[in-house]
Amino acid sequence: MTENTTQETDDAVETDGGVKTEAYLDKEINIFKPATPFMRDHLKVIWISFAAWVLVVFGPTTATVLAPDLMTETTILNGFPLHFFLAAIFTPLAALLLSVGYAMQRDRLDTKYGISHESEEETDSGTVAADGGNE
Amino acid sequence: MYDTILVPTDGSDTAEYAVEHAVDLAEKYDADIHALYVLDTSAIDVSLGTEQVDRIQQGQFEDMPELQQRANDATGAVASRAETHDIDVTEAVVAGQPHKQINSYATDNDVDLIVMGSAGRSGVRRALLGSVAERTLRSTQIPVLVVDRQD
Amino acid sequence: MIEAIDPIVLQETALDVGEFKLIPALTVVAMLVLFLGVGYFFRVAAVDELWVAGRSIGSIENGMAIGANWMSAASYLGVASLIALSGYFGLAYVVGWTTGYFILLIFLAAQFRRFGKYTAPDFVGDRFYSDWARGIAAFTTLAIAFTYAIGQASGMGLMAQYIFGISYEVGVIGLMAVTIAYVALSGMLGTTKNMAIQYTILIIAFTLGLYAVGWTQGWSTALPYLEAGPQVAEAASIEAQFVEPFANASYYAWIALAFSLIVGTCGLPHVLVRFYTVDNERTARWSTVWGLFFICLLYWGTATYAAFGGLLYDSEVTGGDGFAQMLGIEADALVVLTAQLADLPTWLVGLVAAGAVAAALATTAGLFITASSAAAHDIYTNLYKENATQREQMIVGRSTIVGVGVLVALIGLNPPALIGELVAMSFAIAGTVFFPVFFLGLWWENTTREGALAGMLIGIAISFGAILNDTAIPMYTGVEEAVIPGLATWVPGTSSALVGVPVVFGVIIVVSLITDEPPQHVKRLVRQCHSPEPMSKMESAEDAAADGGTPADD
Repeated sequence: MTENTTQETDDAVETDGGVKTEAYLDKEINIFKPATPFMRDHLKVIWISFAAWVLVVFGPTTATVLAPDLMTETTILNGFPLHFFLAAIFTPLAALLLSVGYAMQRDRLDTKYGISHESEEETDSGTVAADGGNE
Repeated sequence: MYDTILVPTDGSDTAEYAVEHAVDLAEKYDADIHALYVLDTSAIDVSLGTEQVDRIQQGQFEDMPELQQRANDATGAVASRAETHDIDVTEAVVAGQPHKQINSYATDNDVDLIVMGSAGRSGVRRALLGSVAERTLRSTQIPVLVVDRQD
Repeated sequence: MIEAIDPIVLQETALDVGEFKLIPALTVVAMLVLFLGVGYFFRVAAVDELWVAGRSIGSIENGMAIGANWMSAASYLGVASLIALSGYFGLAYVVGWTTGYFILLIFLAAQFRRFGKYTAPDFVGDRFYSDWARGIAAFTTLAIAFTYAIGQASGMGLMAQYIFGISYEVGVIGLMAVTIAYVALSGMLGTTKNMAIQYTILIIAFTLGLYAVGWTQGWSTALPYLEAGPQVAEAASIEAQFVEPFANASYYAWIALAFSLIVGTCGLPHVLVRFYTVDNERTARWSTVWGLFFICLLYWGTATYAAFGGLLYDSEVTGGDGFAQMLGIEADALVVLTAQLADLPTWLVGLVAAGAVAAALATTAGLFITASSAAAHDIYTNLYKENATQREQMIVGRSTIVGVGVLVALIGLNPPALIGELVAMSFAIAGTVFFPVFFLGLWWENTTREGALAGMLIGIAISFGAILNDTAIPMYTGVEEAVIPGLATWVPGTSSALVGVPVVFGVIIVVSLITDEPPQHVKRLVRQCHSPEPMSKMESAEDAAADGGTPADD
């Protein structure tokens, strides 16, 4: 007889982190009240990056409304008005750099919490053969 | 005469009718049954998006529980019917164009008889929706038993 | 706001229309064939190996796919146009459409991926345990795709005038038909790897034109983006409003637009999919970073094109009379017009134009698929007939594509606004309706179904209302003014999210606090999204709870 097993992972939750898993599922998720160490660390990174982002995105324009003469009369690189250059070139670049920074921070967090993404791919089904994956 | 019978199923009522015939024949000929569900990639393309088809093709089917669920339910229905009659069942899921996949599966697995349901559509509906049974019939050398849906 | 232009056949325009140009036409065909062909060439032939981990996509390639997704007629043509016409205000489009991805990255990307639902309606339906929510989300998805596509249709029509010498209207209809055919073909042939090729071809077409204009005019050599200072200064001296900060639009309008586009980025239905096309979270993260880079490569060139184009228009078309009186249709074609006015060879101008067509077409194709899946999977299957067969879904999907295509073409014949503005409206809808429920859904586990429903409905009212108020109703009643002018100032159709998002947030929070908490299994779902454990190890634990009513065969 063949069983009709649905693809429940026989290897349930790996021992590395099995205990941690339970803890995460029990802690309330609220962005202002991180309840686990990982979330606290992660949120710190997020809030800092977000603050920096607000600054580079809305800063230049706000500066332009607050100090219009300074922003429009200062020129960069042979002719770009400062406010124009900031919006057209600088802000996107800054956002890009911030995102690189964030990704690197997340990698660092991953290492710190012992998470590896490489081992995810369970190739438990190397055999396709005739029965194409018994389900 | 028949050692291996293939029952392609799409999980619909139409497919169910065919199963009775298949099981009966399998019993009489002491044959094995293969239950096959084909993920219709053309349908998935418009119902879930082309990226999902790509994911399937990349072997990420494990991460698509809803699709798996449908497939398993469909083949499972065949399997449980067969098991009550003590017939060996193999369940399989493949993806692609239904009639082509049915054909190649049958060829690869030495299938002697294909038993499948057909909605028996005619006229405009047939033109629009087509018939997998008909296409399978025309593309394979293996005997095909088409069981029309009874309304 | 720029007024709508009433397109008549072969309207007077500086763009060289009315003549069929063979090489550009062939270039368009070649691009489309290439996109389709690459997909076919690379698709895995033996598709029955469902459980064998096959080829996986790396972060650079996925980043290019993100870039390709972003390359619509709006990015390619629309933004340069808006900068040329509105100066500093146009730069809000640049800022809005680039920096939004960062917010997506830090607040939503990882969590979405862990949640496991790759369409917006799926997510909303599961997170808020409600079929009504799913239906509203599906309807919103259709509205977003529809509005976005109208912008593309406009771009197609303009380019068709240049390349094929036909009228704008014929161009819209013809290219829409081609788009539908393209959708069908790309489904059959597969899209593997073709997003990377798409991006590459389109960025080359766009950038080559820019560099060539810079070279031939002696304005730039290696990096036009940074070398165009003198040109910007010169353009500013011709038309002061080109750089003058708040000449055309107030500080509020600038902020509102940028904000709207940013949150809209996070709410776009087809953006979510990109997080699932790679193996693991780390790749998904880095591919977003790469994606932002590839997007910037395009956007950095838009202001440059605007400056170059303005100068050339002033010298070649108005003979020193400035470029402020550029017509809407000329501005929307500015990228190509610039290349043409710089006397670049026809093949090169044609390349730039072909790139615009290909960009618009590929984007529209993607939008149509988004619409078809909302209709077939989220509305038809999940709301109406749970055990719909694959074939039935296919019919619903295909009919939706044709239906939306026809509607879009009809409205696109006489678009109510500029390309960039139209797309901004779709972002405003996405930002107002989806961003709040995505954000709160993922970051506050006590967001309830009722809260989400109330929020989305209010969001729809605000964003649709704003568009009706200042664009749709004036357009179709011929009245110049917005219905409620005060509203148009504070909640414009293109930028309604600045007001909309806080309002919707407020509604969701208040309603969630006074209604019953979500069921435990939903809370656990949310918690799972924030755990650092890699996904597949978690999945089976929660999936049974999440999936609930997946249809059995009868």
